[in-house]
Amino acid sequence: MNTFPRRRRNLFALFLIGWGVIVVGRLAQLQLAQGAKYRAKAQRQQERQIEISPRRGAILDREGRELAVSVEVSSVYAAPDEVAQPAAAARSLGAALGLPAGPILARLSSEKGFVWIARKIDPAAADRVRALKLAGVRLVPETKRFYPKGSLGASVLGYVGTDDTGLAGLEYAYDSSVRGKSGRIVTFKDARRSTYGESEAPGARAEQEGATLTLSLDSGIQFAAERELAATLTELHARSGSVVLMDPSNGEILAMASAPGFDLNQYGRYPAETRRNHAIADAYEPGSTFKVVTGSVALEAGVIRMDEVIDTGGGSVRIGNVTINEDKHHDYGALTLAGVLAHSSNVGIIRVGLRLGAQRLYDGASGFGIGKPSGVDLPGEACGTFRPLSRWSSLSNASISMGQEVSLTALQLARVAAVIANGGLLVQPRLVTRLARPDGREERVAIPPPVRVISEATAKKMRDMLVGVVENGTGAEAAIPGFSVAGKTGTAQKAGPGGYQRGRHVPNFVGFAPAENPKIVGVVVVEEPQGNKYYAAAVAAPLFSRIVSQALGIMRVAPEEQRLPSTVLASMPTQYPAGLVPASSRRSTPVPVSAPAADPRVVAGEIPDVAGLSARQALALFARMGVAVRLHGAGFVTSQSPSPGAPFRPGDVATLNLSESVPSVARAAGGREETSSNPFRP
Amino acid sequence: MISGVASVPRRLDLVILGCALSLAFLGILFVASTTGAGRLQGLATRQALWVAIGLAGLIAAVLFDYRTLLKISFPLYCATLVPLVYLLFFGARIQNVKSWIRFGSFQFQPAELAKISTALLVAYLFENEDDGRLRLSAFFKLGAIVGIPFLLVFLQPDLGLALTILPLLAVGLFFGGLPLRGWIAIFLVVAVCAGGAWFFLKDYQKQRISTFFNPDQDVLKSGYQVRQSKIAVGSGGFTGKGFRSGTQSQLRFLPVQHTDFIFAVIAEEWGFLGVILILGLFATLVLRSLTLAGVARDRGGVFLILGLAAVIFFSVMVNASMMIGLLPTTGIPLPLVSYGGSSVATTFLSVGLILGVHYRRFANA
Repeated sequence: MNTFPRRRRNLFALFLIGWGVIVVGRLAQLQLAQGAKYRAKAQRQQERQIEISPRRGAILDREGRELAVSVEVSSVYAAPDEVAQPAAAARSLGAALGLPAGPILARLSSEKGFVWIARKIDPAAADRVRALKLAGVRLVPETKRFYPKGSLGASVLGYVGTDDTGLAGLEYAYDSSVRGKSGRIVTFKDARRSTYGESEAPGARAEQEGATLTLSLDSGIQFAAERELAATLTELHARSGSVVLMDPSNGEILAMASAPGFDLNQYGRYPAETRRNHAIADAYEPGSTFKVVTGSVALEAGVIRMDEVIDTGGGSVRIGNVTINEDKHHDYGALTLAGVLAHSSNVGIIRVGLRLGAQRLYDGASGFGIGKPSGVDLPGEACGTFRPLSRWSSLSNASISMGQEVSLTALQLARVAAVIANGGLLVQPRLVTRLARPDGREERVAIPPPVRVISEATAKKMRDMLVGVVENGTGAEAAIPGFSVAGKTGTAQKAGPGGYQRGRHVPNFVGFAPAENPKIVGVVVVEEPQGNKYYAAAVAAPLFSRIVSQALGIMRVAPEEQRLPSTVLASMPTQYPAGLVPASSRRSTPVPVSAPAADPRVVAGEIPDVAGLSARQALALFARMGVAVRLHGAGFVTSQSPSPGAPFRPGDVATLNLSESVPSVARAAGGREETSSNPFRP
Repeated sequence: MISGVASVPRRLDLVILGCALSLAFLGILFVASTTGAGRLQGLATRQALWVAIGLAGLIAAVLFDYRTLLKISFPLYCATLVPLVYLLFFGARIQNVKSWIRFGSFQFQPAELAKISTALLVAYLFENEDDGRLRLSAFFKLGAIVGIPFLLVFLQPDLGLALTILPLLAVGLFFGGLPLRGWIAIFLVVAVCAGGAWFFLKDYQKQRISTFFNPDQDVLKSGYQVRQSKIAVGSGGFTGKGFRSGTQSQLRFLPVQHTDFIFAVIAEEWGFLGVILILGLFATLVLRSLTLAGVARDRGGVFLILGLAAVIFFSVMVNASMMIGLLPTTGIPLPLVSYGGSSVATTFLSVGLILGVHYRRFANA
């Protein structure tokens, strides 16, 4: 008999349903209302995301030679929760890596799911770690920056940190392009061990290699510049130095050397000062090299004519109550502008500058980019000092005219020279010429168009005068056999507290070659050579010559003397005794004021005496007269036929006997700035 | 004793049978999902085997007259207590508890069988206690009948399994007619005992309870299970991550997922819809059982159905509540679904007994 208590059963059923409702309600809360929150929690504990640093793009020189590349190395990381015996693991890892166990243990005891143990270790250490087969300790491939050429172009290229970000130089300037985009691997982590393998989970993405940079830099030229600069620094115990070589037509930098240098592969071992790029980061008072600017602006403004004579009488000029003297109290007398530049006359250029006036000097120099950064694609460029007109003193007009009270970088000065060399255009210096993305897209680097600063005619006049400086003036030692060279010396004193400091000089030289069709403009700056050899004529000019002559060779610029038999060219001595000016360039150099045939040896209608001249000097003389020459031997002229003084007609043939030995005849004493006594002086 | 075989399909309650078979099928499915590889591989086949054994038990229970069972319920009860006593003294500890008896590669929990024999004995008690009110003698008899196996299992110590015996006590008290003041008295006694019992609980049991009230205090140890099951359930969302795609279970963040935490696996892989399906099947099974109790032919049958249904219901709800942080975690499997031969077989046996009572609802059967 069923004595079922229905009322109680219903109550019971109500209890069951009530509990059920609570459970379902809670399920709805967790799964429907808070589902997203718990999904995120699940993802957080199940997925392990590892950032994969992308391979940095290479940096190549203009010939495609590798300057900076990224190589694969291994890094060790650990998942601390999977490491069974942290203490033992730390000990064996320490032994394998050659690191103290303490810090490793501290990292293995971390609460984090992922800790680095060692980054970018060498392959042998990686093998040792692999051999340990420690649970929870793994190796991941990473890339490490490697500079195959060590210290070459160090201050230009820059370097990268452990996390592969550029810290200096081009590595820093182009970091966003070169670095690429980091990838992410998402792996599923299970409660006990990790399953590895890429997943298609959202958030996973492939890393993207960085762009490859092609530079205008030529590693051969760069090497030559660095080697010669370093040699000069060592010889003179100079503090630092820099060299900039640039293509004047487009501002492409062919070499940029900064000494002392450092090894890019171990940059951390060098003090920060060493890593400084002196060519762009240091502004110095250029001194006489700045006279190029003053002269050009004056010519362009028309305040002086080429044949006008400037009186430098007395060797001093008085501005207010300050007297400015020529260096070593020379008295050059009357000079043309060409003469002012050739002798680097302070008084002469001050008179020109004063005639120009402050406003025009300021505007003109500004046009040459003085006081403004050049805009080169490097970080840390100094803009130099060029005070606004409102802050000029009564002395400023005169001081600035001769390159004081103004400072600029080697690169800014190279830019000035490029204006003269390329016919009056201010170019934008550039290192990177091409940026190739890994997907094949190429980016030509946009270069702002050159700006006209002076007329082509003015540039031509200035160029000729600067050729004269090398031919006949203070820049004699900048001459390069086979090429005409234009340039200007400058020996500035370093300004410090209380005025210019004795014994702290900055010899510098700016020039270009070949003068007629300039392929290279160059600036060399040597800071604080010790001892008595500190004049630009003796320090900077020969350094320029050595570097630029090698650069011309590397660039395969043909020597201008095409008529020379190759045997003669090959046998030509590369070094001439001090003061011996190769004649090759004289052919194209109209010597100011005096007639073209101003050479004292040349008397119209007579065969000149060429004994003791170099083959090319002699050739140039004869060529100007229209006399063909037959050469015997190589070197310097020992005897000639017909003899000097003999009459000749165009079309005649002269025979010269040559010898390698240096003639005893001292022909010129040049090579001392401001003190040079030039035999060809007008 | 065996009669009316020909009319079985007509008289058998197919709703309950259908629910039980569906749940067992889903159980095999999800045991397969969680044990696809590794050392647990092959458990789904084993589970299927246990379901078959349980099904045989179910048929036997239907065909065997429950009234005969009620009559011999006391000897049955005593017989099932013997292995429990044996385990206490000679049992091997498996997973820290002495609740398993091994037969070759199979293990069996005698406590599961003791639950059924206890249900039979409680039903037999109330077969003869048909007053409107629960008499004091019946109260103490009931207390003893349920209390002895509860204590034996509690001492194993398997708190979860012990707790699943208690619904029999509740059913006896409630349907036996315990007056309101009796409930109040019991409540007070339990409250006092609970305070005292705290000192007798094992450390891990205390830990679980304190963790329940403050799950974040010990995230990596006791709180871990609750936290992981909540993440699994919550992250399943409305439709779930898909069969065998539950990351919480497949990556083994869930503890003992094929047994006690299979509910969380279903919640993760099939989402809210999946658990509603499971809970719906159980609700149908239990509520249908209450209906069947209403048509049972005698008081013994009524109490047998109520007791067994209450045990199933209690297990389901406690298990589900544990997964979602409503109750502290104890080892209670989800009946029919969780992996575990003893649980599956004896639950089928329980369902068989419920069906059997209904099968023989007519006095002339």
